[in-house]
Amino acid sequence: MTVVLPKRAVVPAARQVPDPSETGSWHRARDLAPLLPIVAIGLVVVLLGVLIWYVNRDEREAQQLTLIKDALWVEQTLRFHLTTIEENVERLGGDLGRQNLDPAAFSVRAGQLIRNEPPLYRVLLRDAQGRMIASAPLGEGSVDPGSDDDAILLARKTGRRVFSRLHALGDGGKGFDIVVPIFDDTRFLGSISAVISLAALLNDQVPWWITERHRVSFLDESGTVIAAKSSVTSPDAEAGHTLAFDTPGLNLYLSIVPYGLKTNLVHNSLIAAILVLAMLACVSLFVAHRHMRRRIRAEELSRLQTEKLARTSRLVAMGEMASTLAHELNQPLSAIASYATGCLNKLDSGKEQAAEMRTTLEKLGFQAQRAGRIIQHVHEFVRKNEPKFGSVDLSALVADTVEFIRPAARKRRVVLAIDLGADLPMVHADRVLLEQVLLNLIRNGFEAMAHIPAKERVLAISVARRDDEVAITVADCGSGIAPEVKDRLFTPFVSTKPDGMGMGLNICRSIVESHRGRLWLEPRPDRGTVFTVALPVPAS
Amino acid sequence: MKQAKVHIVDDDPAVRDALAWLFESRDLATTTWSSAEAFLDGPWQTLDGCLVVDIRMEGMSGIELLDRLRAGGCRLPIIYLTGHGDVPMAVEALKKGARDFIEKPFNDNDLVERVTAVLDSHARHSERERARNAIEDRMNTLSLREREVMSLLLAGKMNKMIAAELGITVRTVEVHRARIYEKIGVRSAVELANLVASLN
Repeated sequence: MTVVLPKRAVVPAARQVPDPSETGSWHRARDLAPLLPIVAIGLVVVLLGVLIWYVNRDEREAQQLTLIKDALWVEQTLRFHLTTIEENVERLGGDLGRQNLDPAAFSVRAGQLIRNEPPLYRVLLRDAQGRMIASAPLGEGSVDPGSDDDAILLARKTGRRVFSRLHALGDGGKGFDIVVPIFDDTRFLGSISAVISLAALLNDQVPWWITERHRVSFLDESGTVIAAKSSVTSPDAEAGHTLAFDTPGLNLYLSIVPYGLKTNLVHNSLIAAILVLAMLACVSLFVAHRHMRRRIRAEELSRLQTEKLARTSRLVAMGEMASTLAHELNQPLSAIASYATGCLNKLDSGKEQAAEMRTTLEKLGFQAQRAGRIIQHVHEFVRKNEPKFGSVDLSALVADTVEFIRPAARKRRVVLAIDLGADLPMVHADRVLLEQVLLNLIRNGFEAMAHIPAKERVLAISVARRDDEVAITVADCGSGIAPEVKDRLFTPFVSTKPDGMGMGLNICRSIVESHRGRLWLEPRPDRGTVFTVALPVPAS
Repeated sequence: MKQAKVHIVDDDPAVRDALAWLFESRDLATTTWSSAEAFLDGPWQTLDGCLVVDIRMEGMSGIELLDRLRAGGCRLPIIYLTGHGDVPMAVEALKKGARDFIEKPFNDNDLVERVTAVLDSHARHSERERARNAIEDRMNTLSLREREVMSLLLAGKMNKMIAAELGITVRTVEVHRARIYEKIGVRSAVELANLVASLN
């Protein structure tokens, strides 16, 4: 047979198993990765919301601006028209002053003025005492609707046209008077009161394209609507714009309120579509994420299984190596024994021939060298797989190993009692080698309890700090170890098992000692044996 | 040169050579074969003696060799050389009819003695077999009537009773009897009875 040691490196295979302390953060990163698209789409939704809000605000501002412009335009128009009326009335007053307040002339001119200016509700001519001389239109009769004496007085004093206070009109609406004083040089002859109907003013002067979009109304100082041009009710007053109607002596306000914001159907449905799509994206991403998580979990499981398999095959490889080694060594050793016995036989029979003996002894020597080379191969093999030390959390190591051995424990109906100390310091060790030691001790424990009733089979495994060491104990409750065997237990090739090779404990102790630790056993007080592996805690 | 009695089948040349040296130091002639295949290619049907076979070899295993030989009608005794951990294999081999197995590394003279014992036992067995075959051959030359007469003779009956039972004359029975003694090579009924008893 040829000398072939297993090429499958036992320890390097184990190197591929990632350190659990690293896999932790790696897992977290991997768990977060699927969340990223959801976060991204969430951000998109938020940004869309902001954009829509922004566009909306812009639009509102633009509308507000338009509204203010419209309001200013309406106010200007109304003011301008009112001024025109004032001037016409003033001209009428001037003319009448020269004609000595001729009622007939007044009627003609005032009637003409009213026909031309729909906002004019009525025009009255008064004498210096404030008595009504004439009024237009003629149909209204001679009834004096009453005058605003303060306004007439003011007009007379200032010699200028003034506005009266607001008052009710015969048609139920409200209005005010433009009072124009009439002088003959400096003599006060009387006055003309031109009654303006606010409702008529709005009706006549506010164009359709304003009223189509806005409710235009006059308010008094308390905010009560005095006159309005609109058939539609309850517009949003908040969005409206109110400005003072610049008429000295009158506290009048012009209010212009839009009939709600004009909304763009296409614009809105686009936004709605985008929002719905974003929601859909979120939901589908969430579903995909869940699906992925499930797959990741499945992958994780299969990875663990592969890891277990790798560990198992590592053990198999180790066993194979031991068996191959034994077989390989057997060949030269058998040959040596046979050559030697043959030589002795020849010597005993006295038939030996020097040349023949010499050749045979040379062959024997050659076989001894062959055995030596095999041992050397093993050395090289071991050297190639020098332990690789790192920081090891013994609690995690024990937990992992226990998980690995659990199925075997179940098969042998052994209950595992685990006690993992918390906050243990890390030790400097080769994780894989220590795992092998632990596995070996646990298996020994199983075998020690093979002959006791199943319900009594308890294997206690603990990790705890003991002064400057971290100690792992494996305690079985088997029949214990006889003192005479105990002394030889760590000797190579001594085994208490029928098919044992007697390498296990010896190798275990070598491994532990290479960690500057100790491995020993002691009997348990009641029954069974405790094996302890104690590793030093690094000084730092 | 005397006929080889020990046939060594092992794929390790050193082991083969050492075993040959060992057996020859005890005056046992050997032949060596580098594999089970090589042995099966040789004149194994005509060989006599004992096989010493490594149970684990490259190519055909020792167990398979045993199967092939038994299938081919070869009854040569086989002793297996086994290594560490081959015990289950050796047990299987014993169940299949191997004579013995010896674990490596072994006490060499112990191996030689076991081989010698097997050879002796095989030789004795073969001798008995040969004698038995000779008697059976002679029995086969008897005619049908002679066999009838012989079975009655062995049952301890007198000539007269045999004659009455078979419906023939006493004289004829005597003639048959003489022919039976002559063919088998015995001189009396007692001798005949002993011979037949040794067969069974």
